[in-house]
Parts: sequence; C-alpha cells; structure tokens
Amino acid sequence: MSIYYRRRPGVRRVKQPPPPSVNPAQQESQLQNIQQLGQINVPKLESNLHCISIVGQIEGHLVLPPQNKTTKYEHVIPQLVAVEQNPDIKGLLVILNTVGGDVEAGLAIAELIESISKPTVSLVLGGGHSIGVPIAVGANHSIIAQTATMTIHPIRLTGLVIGVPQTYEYLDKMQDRVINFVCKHSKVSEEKFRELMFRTGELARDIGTVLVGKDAVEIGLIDQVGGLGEAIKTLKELTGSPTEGGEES
Amino acid sequence: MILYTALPLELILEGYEEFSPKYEEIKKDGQLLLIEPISFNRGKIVRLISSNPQDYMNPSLQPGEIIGITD
Repeated sequence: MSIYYRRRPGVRRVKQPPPPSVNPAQQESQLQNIQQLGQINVPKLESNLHCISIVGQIEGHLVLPPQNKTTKYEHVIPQLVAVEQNPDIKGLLVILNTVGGDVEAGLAIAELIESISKPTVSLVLGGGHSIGVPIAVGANHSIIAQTATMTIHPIRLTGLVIGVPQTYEYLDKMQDRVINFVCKHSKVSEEKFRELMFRTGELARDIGTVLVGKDAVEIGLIDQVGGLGEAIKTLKELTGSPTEGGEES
Repeated sequence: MILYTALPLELILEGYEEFSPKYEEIKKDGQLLLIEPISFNRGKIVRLISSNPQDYMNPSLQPGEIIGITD
C-alpha cells in the first residue's frame, strides 16, 4: 500500500505559505545550539572586543578524562595571536572561572595575555584558583566579582616531569615561576604572596589561602571588585572607544 | 607535566586508565582537523591544525563542534 498522500478529488489544495528560508547549514547550527545551549538563537552582534573564557581545568600536554571541563591551550594560544593580529579587534576580555590546571599551559596563556599590545581586562567570576591567578593578573586590568574566590596554595607533589618523579627543588623552581609572574604583574609583594601560599589553618587538609572578592583587591593581587559592566567600561576606556548604550545613562 | 590546581588529583585523573579516545585526522574544506568520530558520518572536533591564526576564530571550527565527516 502506498504511503504517499493522494489528493482526494474535490478537495482544493490550499496553497501553503513558502517555508521560511533556512538553509541546511543554518538549520544544523540551530539544532546544535538547542543541543548544546538549550536555545535556538544565539544573538550575533559585531563586536570590536574579543572574549575568551577560561573555564574548568586548563588542559596541558595531557588529554584529561571526559569528566573534566577543560580549556584547551592549543586553541586559546592561536586565538590570542589572532586577537593581536586582527585590526578589527580593539580589546580582549578574559573571563575566568577555572580550578587551575597545567602549569606550563597556564603560564603560556598568562604570558600571551600579558604581552598582547591591545588592552586586556580579566574578570574573575566564581573562581580563579591556582594557575588561574597568573592568568588573571596577566591582563592590564583585573577585576574580581565580589563573590568570586581565588585559592593560592603551593604546587603539590603531583605529576611527573618527562616520566621522572621530580625532586622538591624542581617543584620549588616551578613554584617560583608562578610567584615571579604574579608578583611582577600585580601589586602584591613576593613576601606577602609566599605568606598566603604557605599559610596554615585556612584550608582543612592543605596549606594556602582562599581570597574572596575584596580580599584579593586588598592585598593588591587584583585591581578592583566589579562585574561585567565595569569590565566592559574599563576595556572601552582603555581602547579609547566611546562608551555607547547600556552602562552609561 | 605538573598540575597546579585546587582540585584533588584523584578527581581529575579518575578513569584515566580506561580513557582511550580514538581520534582521526581528516581534511574538511582544506582544513586539517583532529576529530573524534561519534557516528559513521559525524565527528566532534577535538583540535584544529592550522597555521593561520584567524582559522581559530571561525565559530564552525571550535573544539566540540559536531561536523559531518563525509565530503
């Protein structure tokens, strides 16, 4: 039996309105938006600011098991190069909500953000722990949300260096790389940062400090407490572009 | 490799022994991509291999994007 719809005699075919012109590629991307983000239309707006979000673990030389949400440094690094190179991009906003990750990958991103000639602003939301700290301070201006936290703790005795368990001296050297970078690019002194890193009594089974919002500003690690509005405003000031709409009234 | 993270290592590396992703290198529209096949003709982009930095800004080439593998 035919499954095709047969026109019944006497029924006048009603002219269907033409289907909305959606090309297959667009349809595909809409479908993916629903699957990935739960919404159909992701608003598209030409912006002269580029936003990079550093979330979850910063994945380095090892592909982490799938339960980890990761930021892939091999993708972020060329994006930063593109930001530097593209004349249409005037500034970079780095949004951080990271639990840390690979030292080398994190420092690589931090160094690139620091050395970009365009204005950069970092915004710490939720958390910017461990290796997230150098990334946050690498930007020209750093902002932390008042509820966001930053954990400063020593590099633990984990990981291998090219297959060989490292010595304490090696870890100390790695730690110095992080400390030097942070102290060079923020107002916190080395003594103070080391003191925070090795403080006892704050974390239950570990040494270190948790800085919440304004604590990070008070010790000079982060420049100000704020949110997205402040971040965009600062970035616009730094880029010298007129502040239009939104935050100004 | 040294992980400097606030999460315990056991949590991060849980399932690492069994975790063996199968990646494939494909060329799509002249772009060399490392993908993880998810069905016979679709794959998830794991990595983009290109020397043009602007390619990394292309929204359809971001890691995690699902693409058709067959040309």
